[in-house]
Order: sequence, then C-alpha cells, then structure tokens
Amino acid sequence: MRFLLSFIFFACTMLCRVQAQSEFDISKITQELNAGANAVVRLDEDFFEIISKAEARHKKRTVVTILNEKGENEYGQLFVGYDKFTRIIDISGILYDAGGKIQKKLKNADITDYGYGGGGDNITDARVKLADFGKKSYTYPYTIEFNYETKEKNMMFYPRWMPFADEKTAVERAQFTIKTPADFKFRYKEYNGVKPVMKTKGEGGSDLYTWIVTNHAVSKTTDFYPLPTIDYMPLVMAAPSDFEVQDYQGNFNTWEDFGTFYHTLNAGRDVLPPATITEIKSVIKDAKTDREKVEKIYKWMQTRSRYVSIQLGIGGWQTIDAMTVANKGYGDCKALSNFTVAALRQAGIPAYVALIKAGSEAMMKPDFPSSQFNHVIACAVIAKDTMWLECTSQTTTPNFMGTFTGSRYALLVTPEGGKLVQTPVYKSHQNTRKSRANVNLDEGGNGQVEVHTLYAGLQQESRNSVFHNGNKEEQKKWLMNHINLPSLDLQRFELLEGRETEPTITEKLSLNVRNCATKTGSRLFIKPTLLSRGFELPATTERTTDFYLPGSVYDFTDSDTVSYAIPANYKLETTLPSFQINSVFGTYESKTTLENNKLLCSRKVVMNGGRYNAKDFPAWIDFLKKVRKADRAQVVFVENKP
Amino acid sequence: MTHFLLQCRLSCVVLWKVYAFSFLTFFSFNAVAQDDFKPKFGVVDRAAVEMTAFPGDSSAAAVYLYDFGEVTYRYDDIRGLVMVMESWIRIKILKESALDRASVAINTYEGSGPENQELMDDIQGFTYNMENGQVVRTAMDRKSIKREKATGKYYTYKFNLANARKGSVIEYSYRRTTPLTVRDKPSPWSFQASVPSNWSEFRITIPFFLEYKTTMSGYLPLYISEQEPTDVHVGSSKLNGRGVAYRFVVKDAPAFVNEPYITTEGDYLSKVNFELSVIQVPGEISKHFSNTWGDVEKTLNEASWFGVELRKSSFLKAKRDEIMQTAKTPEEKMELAYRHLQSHMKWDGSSYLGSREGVKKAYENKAGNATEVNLILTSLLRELDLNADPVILSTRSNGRFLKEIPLLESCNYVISHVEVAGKEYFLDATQPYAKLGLLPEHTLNGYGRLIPKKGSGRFLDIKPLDLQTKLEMVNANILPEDGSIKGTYSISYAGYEALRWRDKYVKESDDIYHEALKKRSPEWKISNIAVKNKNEDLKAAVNVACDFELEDENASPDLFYFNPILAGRWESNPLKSKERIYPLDFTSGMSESFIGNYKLPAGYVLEEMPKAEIVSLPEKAGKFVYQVRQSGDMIQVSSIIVLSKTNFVADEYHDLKEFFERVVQKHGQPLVIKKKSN
Repeated sequence: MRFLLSFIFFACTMLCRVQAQSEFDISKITQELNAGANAVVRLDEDFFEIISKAEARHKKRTVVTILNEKGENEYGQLFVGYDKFTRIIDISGILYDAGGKIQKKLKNADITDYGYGGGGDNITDARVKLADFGKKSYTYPYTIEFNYETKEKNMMFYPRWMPFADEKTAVERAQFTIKTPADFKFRYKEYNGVKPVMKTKGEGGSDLYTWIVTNHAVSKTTDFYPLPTIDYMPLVMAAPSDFEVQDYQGNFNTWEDFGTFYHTLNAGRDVLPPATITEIKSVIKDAKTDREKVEKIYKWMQTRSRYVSIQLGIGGWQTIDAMTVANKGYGDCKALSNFTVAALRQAGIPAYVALIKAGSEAMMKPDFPSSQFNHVIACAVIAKDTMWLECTSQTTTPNFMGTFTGSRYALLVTPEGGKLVQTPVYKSHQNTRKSRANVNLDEGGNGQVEVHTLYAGLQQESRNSVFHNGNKEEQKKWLMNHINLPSLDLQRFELLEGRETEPTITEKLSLNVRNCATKTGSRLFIKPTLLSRGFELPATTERTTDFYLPGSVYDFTDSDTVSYAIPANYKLETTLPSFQINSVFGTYESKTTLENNKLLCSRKVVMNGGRYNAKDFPAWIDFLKKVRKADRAQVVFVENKP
Repeated sequence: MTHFLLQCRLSCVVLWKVYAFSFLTFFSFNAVAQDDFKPKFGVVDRAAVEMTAFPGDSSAAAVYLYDFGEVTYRYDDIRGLVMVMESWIRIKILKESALDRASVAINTYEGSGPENQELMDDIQGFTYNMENGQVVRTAMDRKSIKREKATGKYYTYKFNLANARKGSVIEYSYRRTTPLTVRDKPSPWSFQASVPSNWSEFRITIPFFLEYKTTMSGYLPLYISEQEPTDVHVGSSKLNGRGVAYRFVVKDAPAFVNEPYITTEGDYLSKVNFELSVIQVPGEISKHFSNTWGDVEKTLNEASWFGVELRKSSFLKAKRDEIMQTAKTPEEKMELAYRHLQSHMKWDGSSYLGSREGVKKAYENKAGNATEVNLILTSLLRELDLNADPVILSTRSNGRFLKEIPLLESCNYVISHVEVAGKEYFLDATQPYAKLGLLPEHTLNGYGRLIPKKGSGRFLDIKPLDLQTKLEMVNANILPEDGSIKGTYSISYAGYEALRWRDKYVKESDDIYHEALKKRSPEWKISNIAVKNKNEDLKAAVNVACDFELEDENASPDLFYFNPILAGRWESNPLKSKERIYPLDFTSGMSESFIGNYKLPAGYVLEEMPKAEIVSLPEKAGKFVYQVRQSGDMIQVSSIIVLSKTNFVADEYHDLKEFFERVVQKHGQPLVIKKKSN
C-alpha cells in the first residue's frame, strides 16, 4: 500500500531586509534557548502571497544557528520541491561565522537537481533542488541562512505552518504571513496554543495575516509517550475558499465542497470496456448477496491489477481512467479505486472513492476542510452498511483497513459532495492473540514445546506481511527473532492465513528449547509466562504533560496458556503465583495450578490505548512495574530426595 | 590451467571458491554432457505459466526462469568503441509481493557528445497469463516506456509490463550500448538473487585487442563454463580479428540469504567481475591498466589524486615546526601528528580511493575523505622524518579484495603505516576517539597494500590491535528481609567497546548516556552515576560507576532466589540459524567479564549454587569460565567470556553456537539462599 505523493510546503518569507551583520551573532542567543538544542532557528519567515485564486508566490527565509553535527544534518541542506505547478524563482543562501560575519554565499554550483522517484513503479514529474555549502567543515557554532521563492499554480494547497516541528531545535522567532488582495476570502485556523492572527493592511489595500511565535526552548528529556504531533505542536492551517487549478474551479469551504471538486475533477472516468463489463457479470453471477458481490469484485480486482505510482501533471489529483486500468492492469491508488468503484457500479452496488490520510497513526484535523490526504480507497454501500476496500493491495481481506487506514476519518466523494465518515475502528477485543502451548520438560529442564497461536485484528498484520512477503527461510528467521526465548531450535513451523470475514493468522510452532526451565543443582525454575509479550519500562518515571499510548500498539488482548508436564521426580517448593492487576490502562490476570505433574499457567492481558492525563503517569509506571514483576515470577520445583 | 587461490571445503555440496583467470590462463571444462537451455524470446512453455509454487521453496515470491546477459564489442564511427549488453529476463511471479518486478527502472549515463552517451534501445516486454485454459500473451505498449531525468547526466528508463498478476510469467529484454569512454568493463554479473534462479547465464565475447582480469566468487558451482576461440567482427577493418567467446551458467541457484557476522553481502554472492587490464589496438601503443601490484603502485604514485598529493606538504611546515619543538622522541612526534589530524580534520564519512579536492584544500577546509585525511597524516609524518607510507585497502562494506588480482578499483580506503624503532603502527586519523593504532572496525578486512615512496610495495596483515573489552562489577548486599539487592555497579569499556562508546556518547550531553544506562536495567533504581575518562585519555578505558538497588522478583524472607549475573547477562544466543554455509567474521576479538561480590546477611546460608564451568573452543579460539565461590559470608560469582579468534569457517559454526549456548545457559542459573533453621 502506498501514498499518493502530496506536497505540503512549509515555508515562506517576509521581504528580506538587509540585516546588520552582527544580528546573527551567537552571543545573542539566550542560555535558555541554547540548552540541549542541536540548532537554534534565529528567524523563520514564511510568506505566502496570494495573487489571485489561481496563483501565489511563496517565499521562505530561514536563519539557523547550527550548534553541532546533528543540527548540521538537520539544517545544513535546503530542499525545494517543484513540478509542473510549482516553479522555483530563486534560491539563495549565506553562511555566517559565530560572530555573525558573512563567510560565504551560495553559488549556482552549490545547487543540485534530482528526480523524485527512483523505482520503475514510481513515475512522476516531481523534482527537487538541493542546496548546501559544500564539503568544508565549519567550526560549530555557525549560522546558515537559506532563502527561496516559488510561484504556485496549484491553489488546492496552502502552506501549513508548524514552527516547532523538530524536537531538538529551539526557535528564537518564527513568523507566518499570508498576503491577499483586498477582501480576498480564504480560511485559516490556529491550533495548540498559537496566538491569534494579527490582521493589518498592506500596500494597495492588500490584507496581511500574521502569526508569530518567539523563544521556544527544547525539551530536556526524551518523551517515551509523545502525543501525536498534530495534537500538541503549535500549528496554523490555511486553505482556499475559491481556487482554480488548470482550468478547474473549486472551493474548499466545507468538506462537501471539497468532495464536489474531487468529483468534478474525476467525472466521467469510470467507463469500462465491454469485455470487462462481461467479465464482471460472470464474476458475480453466483453471488447471492450484495456483500458477496462486493467481495467477489474486490478479489477479482486484486488478482488482475497491481500498484504503480503515476503522478504526472494534474494526474497527481486526477485519476487515470478505468478503461486504461482495465487494459494495462496497473494504476495508482486513485486509478485502482476508481476502477473498483466503476466495477461495483456495474454490479448495481453504490460505491464511492474516499480520500484518506494513510499511515500508522496518521492523523488529520476533521474540523478544517483542506487537502490533508495522501491516499485514496474505495467504499461500497450495502444495505445500511459500508464495506471499505484497499485497492492497492492484492492480499488484503475485504473491509479490513488495519493500521494503515483504519480508526480514522475518510472523505467519501459522492455526486452530492464530500462526506466525512469513520472507517472501521480496531479496539482491544478485536486485536487478539490467543496462544496455547504444551511443554514437555525433561529432568535437565529442556523442553519440547508445541504452540498454536491465533492472531486477529491489528495483531495479525505483521505476521500477515511476513506470510505474504517472505520465503520459507525469511519467515523462519523472522519467527526466530520474534519468539521470546533465550535459545531455541525451531523444528517446524506453519503460518496459515484466514480471509473469511476478518483476516487471521494461525501460527503453529514446534520448538526444542534447551533450558526451557532453568536447572540449578536440585532445583528446577519454571516460567509461567513462557512466550508471552513483555512490557518495557521507560527510563524516566516523571512527567508533566499528557501521554499517549498509540491504539495501534496498545489496543490488544493477549490470552496465553502454557501447560508444563513436570518430570515425575520433582515436587513443588514455592507457592503457585497468581496475580490480578487492574488499572485504567488495562488489566492483567495470571493464574497457575498444579494437577498431577501438570503445571497449568494462564495469563490474560487487556490493554487500552489512548491519551492519558499527566497525573496518571505514576499509575502507569506502577502498572508496568507490577506487570513486569508478575511476569518474572517463577515456579520452583525441587528433586524428591529418596 | 586453473588458479585456485583459496579453497576451503564447507560441506559436500557447497564450495567456496574464488579463482581468477586471464585471457591466456583460463579455467575451462567441457560441458557437452550437460542439459542446455536455450529459450526463445516471446515464446514460453505452458508449464511455466501453469506453475503455482516453486518446488524448492513453496514460499518463494518469484523465480527467475531465465536471466541472460551477453556482452559484445563494436566499433561505430560516432561513438567509437562500444560495449553492447543484451539483457533478457524471464520471471515467474508466484506471490503478490513480487508484482513490483513487473516495474523496471534502468539508469543510463548521457554525457555531452555521442562518445559519452549510453544508448538504450530495443526494449520489449511480454506478459503471459493463463486465461480460460489458454496461455494469453500481452505485449508491452511502447508508450509505457518513460525516460526521466534523474540527476546530472543520468537518466532513468522506466517501464511497466501490462497485466502482470500473481501467476504471470513476465519477460523483457533491452539493449544497452556503452562507449568505452563511459565505462570500460561490463558490470559484475550476479548469478544469484533474492529469489531462486533456475538459469542464470552470462556470455561475453572478448576481441583480441582487449584483455580483462576476471574474478569469480561465491558458493555455487558453475554448471557450464565454456570458452571458444572465434572470429570477431567488430565493424572496423583494423579491429576485426580473433577473439574468445565465454559462456557461464549457474543452474538452480537458491535465493541468497543474508546472515549475521559477515563482511558484506557481495562477498558471499555468486558473481563474476571484470577489470580491464590491456587495450592493444593495432597500430597504436597498447595501454596497460594495473597488471601487477607494481603497476598499481606506479599508477598510484603518478596519479594526480594520490602520489602527487602525497608530495605536497608545504602547508604542513608550520605544524611540523611546532611538533619538532615539543616532541623529543620519534614516538612522541608520531603521537602529536596523529592527535593533531584527529582533531583538525573531520572525516566526511566517504570511502573513496583518491583525493577529490586536493589535500591542501582539504586541510584548509578541515574536512575530507579518508584518502585525504590519511595522506595528510602520512605527509606530516614524513615531514617529521618518520618512516611513514600509505596503505590502501578495501573496507568491509566494500568487500574483499584479492592479493592475486592487482586491481586499483577494488581498494577504497587509505590508512597510514609507520615504522618506529622496528615497531609497526597503523594509523587512521579519521577517528576522533580512537587511540593511536586502534583502527576503526570498517577497515578490519584482512590486509592492505603498502605503497612505499620508493621500491615495491608489500601486503600487510591488518589485525585489530585490541578486543571488544567490557568488565562489569557488582558489589552488593543481599537483603532478604526487604527482598532487595543493594550496592555499587561499575562498568569499564576498553578497546573497541571504548571506541564504540566514545563514538556514541562523547559528543552528547551526560543525560543521554544516563538515560541509556537506566533504560538498559529499568528495574534498577540507579543513582550517583559517574563517568570517568569520557575522552581525556583515549588509551585508557571509559569507566562508569553508580549505586543501585533492585527488588528481587522471587523474594520471600525464608528463601531467596536470584540470578547472580546481574549485568552483562547473555539473554539469548546471537547465533540462531541451525546451519551455516558462510564463514563468520566477528571483526575483532571479544572479552566480556562480570564479577559479582555479594554479602550474605547474617542468619542465611547459601543453599544452592550453579556449578562452575569452563568451556574452551579448539585451538584457543575462545574460552568461557564461570565460577561461584563462597568464603565466609561473601559469595563471589565470575563469568569471563573471551573470543580471541575473529574468523571462523562454517565447519566451526556448531562449536561456536554451542559455546554461546553454554554461556546463555550459565547466565540463566540462579543462586538459592535460605534462612538458617534454628
């Protein structure tokens, strides 16, 4: 599954005034900003000048003091992307020494031009220019200034402003300005504590909208549970009302309008060749329900097509027609979704393409209609239900969205306009792992282990990918690296895929485990939680901000049971551990019983991801410690002395 | 005649061989009795399209049914002498994950003037699918071929085969014409890929006026290896004449699988590599390209990017005078010169044989590649009247180079060799935190070639000066009543462990390492962390000490179990595979020790302790000593793991795996402490 390429340009500039040279003297940086930073942004001016609804200029000036090698890696180079709609007018740069004296100016020879896509399955006209100050090693700290200006003819995208995007960069001053003709309408919204806009008048009655942030220091400690960037980093979103791109008119005032535009741009591209229509009819001829029809068409589409990224001109937003996909058997996410929707409509099923921001934990702002998407999927409507289809994958189960596109909003593109709807949500009770292990121990503690595990929901994703992408040898290696045991000999394994309604993976392992139980002298130490997933404890146990346990990682249910056959000449020495740990984050329950030399151990963990208040952090650490302790508990047997 | 340079038997099936042949001394055997495979382009047998799984590996994503390349030489009036490579690839797609093989990207170089332009033409492709019991062939539309500008003078041809699905057989071919001014040798041909290959064939017809040095390497036997004298029609009366046609086939190659502890993938893949040694066009003076190591040395000494740069040293005079004033002995001079360049020059991370901008410029810029940094070092050492010479070598990631095949191109790195009072030193000033003589791990690839000022060079073994040394100590009180262990912990990093630590943490603030230390033992309550000798004295170890307290997991006031290897515990065996076909290369030796001193509380006795164990590898290659001793109320536990040999052949794999296994086993065993019964 892949993304459609979308350019979001951060950036722009105020009119460059000639600065007094000493302005960027590093001694002017406060102690507070220096502390812990790899770089300090002295000045970041992002200037977006809207000339008309069809055209804009984008200027950006960034002056950064580089404090060390990491800062240099982050800011030593300037990348400016361009394509048929974005023309680069100017790139310039200056390098200052620590005192703020000019050392060097960027020359044309310092700018290199690159194509964007390397592989044969990535066809694009997008390119990038890269500028830097060459091979010389400059003594830290020093200061780099980059300026660039572009002319934009794709007015679907306005810049998004996120001045503190890099964690280890301090910011002295950053400013975002949008200039428009008098009374020109567009939309914007501030998030996460950005101070409200300042509106002023510029020359010729133009309107100026300005946002400024100053003196942002870096955080001192590593955040092990950061909130999603979009939920805590200062952010200004901007988007057009009315706009024009290559003779297409649109406006993005509402999600409805957004959908209408996409619909217009792609109208009439769903015509299929007669041979394909005949094929579709035969594919669904035995289907009894609409659901079955959707499944059959989806699977048929999966077997006859593959993904190739094609982003040429307006083709980055306008799909290749269904006819071409039918003939060539390949297309990008837009084209394959459009083709699938066309096929579904032939079967009498209402279907629509849907725009989405794909990726694990990828998030958007549903309250601000604008281009926030990077992917297209298909949605079929049956009765009062929907079925979601990922059309760039040949192996996904119908209606399975997973971490890539599940649990979030998608914009359904209908002839009546766009509708923001929720894709399937994956919660703890769906993301399951159920394992059952039988262990035969010999007197030395070596074990013959047979394990059957059923994975479902998000938990089957990694194994599903290994199942489809790896050969036997690679699958074996992957499993060996993911089985939580000190040393093992994987004698046999099998991965089985279930694709009925929800995807599942059954994993069957036969293991020979030396020292499965630890033998010391006359004692045998047995782990009741053999093979269970462990929990990591962070290095810091204090925090002042909210923390976030991503649902894609933390929403799960694990039920593991292990049955040990204990050699006859041993007797139990300790008590049998059993634990019950409850918290808002989840529950942990383990139990051990002994019957006729059979030690039965069970462990069930149900976790709930999400955003938690900072004051709950000690409770989270406490929960982790208790769980880790419970997991380390051992059952000790001692030899019967005759 | 055959030159078997290195051969060691791994198992009855797989042979590791590297052999070289030149034009005259070529390895050949008759292949008459073999089954041959000569398919036709555009025609595929039904069985291949019907196949649903590869017999050798049911989970293989794709199979090369045919992978063919043929190189010939031509002369044309516009481009001059060109190399023509015909490629033809036929792949069976068995799983969805291999569908991207139907998308192809090929890079070409298109410099100014036809003699500097590569030409791609005759791109053709077919897809074969089973439809209603018939094999249906779809040709690739010519419009699907796109030519994109990549960067500079490089272009990329991209094409996508139509209707490729799971089950398809896809096939494509193309011709690439490369002027010898762009590249004078064929690209290395690999007989092995990430998926199995049924038939991989490479042919080359070398005309009489060209001579290549050829190396074969890898673990797969050649199924066909033929050479045949033939008439070669190059297209210019002066150049037409005799030549030799070679044909190499590897049949049924399994997918290449990467293993840990190797130098680089390329050293283990089966492949053939070419290097131009002579061009002898009739009526012109023949051109020789590094035929012997003597020639290589001569080339280097005369090269503007090497020898000439090595003779430039006026910019170092001031530094020389400064060192001369303070240093008294040759050793001191060496040390000061090394330290100066270590701190003055920043290595740009690139490994490349030759100076790009010149050493003077690099010195002014305070940055350069490894060649520049160490040529400057060598010059400075020579200025100080020391006996110093550059040594060229190939880094681990660049792959092995062969003593028997003098090739300049196989080396990509330079270090400096100094002889002082009969003692040899290897220096590499690219490493700001390495003590004098400790070469970085990427240079530890067997040997290098010394390039002296005068006279002929020689090979030098490049061995690690030190081990990866780590010593961890715990002094603690056992507190069964609290269910805890409390005491001090120290760790000392030396040799390569010290270099790694310094590379990672010297430039960071203290918190970063403190955090890492806490993260490593999250159960410990760690306080009073003190790091000594971060980088003050690179010859000595980095020493870390702290206090700790930990709650024991299985504590009860009567019976207290705990694992005495509190730190540096081997939790799992790094060797996981059951079998191994490649040799193992650990870069440098290893020494990991743990010593724990535990004070038994009054009223408790040691009920049970793990048995002592000593495990040795043959020929003193490694030793593991594990001991538990009690004297009075003190319990001392020690574990010492030493691996002194760095390279192991595959036959030794099982011994080594078992050796590590014993370590893991011992490191898992607990002590049992019991309350005295009254």
